[in-house]
Amino acid sequence: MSGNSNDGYAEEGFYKTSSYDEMIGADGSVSSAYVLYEKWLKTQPPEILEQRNKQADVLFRRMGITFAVYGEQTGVERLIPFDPIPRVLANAEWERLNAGICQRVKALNRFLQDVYTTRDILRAGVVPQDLILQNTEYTAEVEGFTPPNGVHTHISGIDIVRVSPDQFYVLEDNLRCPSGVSYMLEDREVMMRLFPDLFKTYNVLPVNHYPRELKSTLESSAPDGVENPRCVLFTPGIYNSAYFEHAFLASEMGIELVTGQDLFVDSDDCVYMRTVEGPEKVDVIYRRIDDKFLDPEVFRKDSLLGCAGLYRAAMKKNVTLVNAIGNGVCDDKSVYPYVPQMIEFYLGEKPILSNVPTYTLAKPDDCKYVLEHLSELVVKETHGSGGYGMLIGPKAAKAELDLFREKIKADPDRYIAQPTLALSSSPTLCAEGVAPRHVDLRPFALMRNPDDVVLVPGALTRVALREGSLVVNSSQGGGTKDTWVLGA
Amino acid sequence: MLSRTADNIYWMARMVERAQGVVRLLEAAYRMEQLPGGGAGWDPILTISGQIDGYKAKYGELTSKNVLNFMIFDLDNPSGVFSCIKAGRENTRSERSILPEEMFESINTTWIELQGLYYDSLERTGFREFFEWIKDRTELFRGQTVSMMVYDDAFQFARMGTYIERADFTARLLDVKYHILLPPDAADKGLIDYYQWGEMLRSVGGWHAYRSIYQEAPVPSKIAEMLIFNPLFPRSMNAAYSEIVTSLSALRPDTMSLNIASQEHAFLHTGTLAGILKERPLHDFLTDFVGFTANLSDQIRKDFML
Repeated sequence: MSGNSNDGYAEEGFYKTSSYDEMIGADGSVSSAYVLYEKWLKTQPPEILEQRNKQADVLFRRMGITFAVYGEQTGVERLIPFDPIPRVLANAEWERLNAGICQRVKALNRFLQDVYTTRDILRAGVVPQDLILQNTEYTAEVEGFTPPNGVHTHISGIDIVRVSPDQFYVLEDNLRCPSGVSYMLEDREVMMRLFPDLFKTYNVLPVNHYPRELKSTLESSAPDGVENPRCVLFTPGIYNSAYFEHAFLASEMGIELVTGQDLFVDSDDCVYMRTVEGPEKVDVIYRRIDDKFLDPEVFRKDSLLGCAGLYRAAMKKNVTLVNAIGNGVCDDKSVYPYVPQMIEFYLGEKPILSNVPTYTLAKPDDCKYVLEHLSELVVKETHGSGGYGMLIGPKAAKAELDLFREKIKADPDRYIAQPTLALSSSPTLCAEGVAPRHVDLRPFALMRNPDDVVLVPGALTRVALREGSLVVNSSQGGGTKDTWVLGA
Repeated sequence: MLSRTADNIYWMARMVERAQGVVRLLEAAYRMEQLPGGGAGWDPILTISGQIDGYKAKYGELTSKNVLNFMIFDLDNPSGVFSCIKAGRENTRSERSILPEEMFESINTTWIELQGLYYDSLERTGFREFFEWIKDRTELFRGQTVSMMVYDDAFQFARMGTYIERADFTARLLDVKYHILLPPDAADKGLIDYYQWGEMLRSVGGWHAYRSIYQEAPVPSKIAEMLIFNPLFPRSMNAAYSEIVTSLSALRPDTMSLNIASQEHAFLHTGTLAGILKERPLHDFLTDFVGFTANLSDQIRKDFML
């Protein structure tokens, strides 16, 4: 820390950002959610955050809260950087997000049910038929299938960014195996340990009942007629980047953590796990493994992670897969621009949360515009995730822009483009002191039936630790923050 | 409980117990080396841990530095301290969802701290301190197993892992050192024998146990008797089998593994050294015992579909 006290961040010219900051407004005033925190920070000795940050590092390391980075030496475990300054949301801000996310998830679930059965939305011409039926994520194997209770999207992670006090955008929907919820829970655990006095002062709504809510979501998804369903969490194993989270959630819910070798599908098309007392039937599988690795009988033949016959068992409703198969067609970036229309089509409501304006490069007009304005835009692969393979125009060198221009021309369908958003910033502990860094927000929504979606009041906040950086993904050097939703 | 979970927990406990066994051996040899004429202790360690061929292929010459490097740091040696802690940690990590959180945190902390250690740093900070530390860390872990795990099936597999490893270790140790205890020429080599017997007892943590049980200076036949038969000594083969039988009966009353383990236990509980030696050399008995224990481990695997 530089300076003699923590109010150094407020000194002329030091805490500065050109985008909307969640703590300090353009006029220098402190936003209402942060008033208490800002006051507290000023009374603390300057080294306090640095000290607590080191303590947090030791805690995370000892607890083994790590993730593996693909492409690096296998088995190397890294810590996700943790920032000790919370991201604070006022109750009214959260309530709006909550309503918007519930609305969105309901529409997305209806869409999945529709495209795999009656295809009303395609026949009505609201979403182009080819975009869905030709989509590589469209899964013909589940055509005509309605999962138990009609739920496809049991667990969703909706990525939100903010550009002004009132303007939130949905950046993307994660409807396959969204990860990160364990960081929401562990960040809170660590914050409560590091800053007990702050939690006495602030009315921070608790998030730690998430595993209980998740467990009841899993149980409610069981096939019809199953009493006391046996639920398991299906992990690809200890070398998966999110293994910690799998083990953590299984432990919190008190359910078995299984791998492909532990499961088998018998001649009755039911799923069993191998136990020391012999085979035991499994009713609900919270699978943290992608569709394509799930069942080598149907999807990738070379998958060693999956379990042969799972697809059969799921189609016969002998077991429920959470989330359902085929959700990728709905969180694909090329389908994203149509979500506001889905909300209007299925729910007859105006979207509460907006989409980021998006150029679909498959459309010639959009493509022409994007190629002319490449240096102002963000370009993403339609099937990409994790911040890989994307171009941030304003930050890119000429060579990179040229490279992307060629890639787009060669295969425009693979890309979408969006204006570079001025992501909001939040105070973050950096080498030079407390400074604004860009953040996003991933709340997790749980669906028990198509009209019942719940969120715990909190989220994962990801922060881009490098000055000016807009990339918050943990695989790209992003960190996490505890997210506080204040009581009403 | 999942069969894979049972297997992981069994090996978790075995590997942690093995790390401690290896460190006890190294500690005894390290102390012996400081006595005049006591530098021959390194070779047997490689034999006991079954790694003599791997060592010779990689290092050739037998020096204390090479053996310490091989038996502590070398990840090519599956019985080295680093390898054992690494494997124990991976098994614990695989099952952290069903284990008390303290267990993963404790072995993870050990593993993290090992990362900063290498031969030269131990030379500065002291090998003896390192040996003590590993013994402490592994005992802490075992203590957490006993005092924090629910006494369910997982606990029984952990206990079996510990005691099968221990029975095997004690038998191997005795087998390699028995010529010291019962020299064929029976010539009294004086003080050096006294120290060697003492070090051998120390390497199974039996120095004080021997004195409290026998209340006299170490005598070879009594040392062997204590390590094989004495039910009061927690590292004796008899005591280890007693725990194995307790766990197997808690799991299921009708298994083949329980049947054969009980017979072996009955023998250990009623036999005497003189009785064995009347039939055959001690070496043959111990070789059979090590083989029997390996078969028992396989039978457990079959009975519980591990």
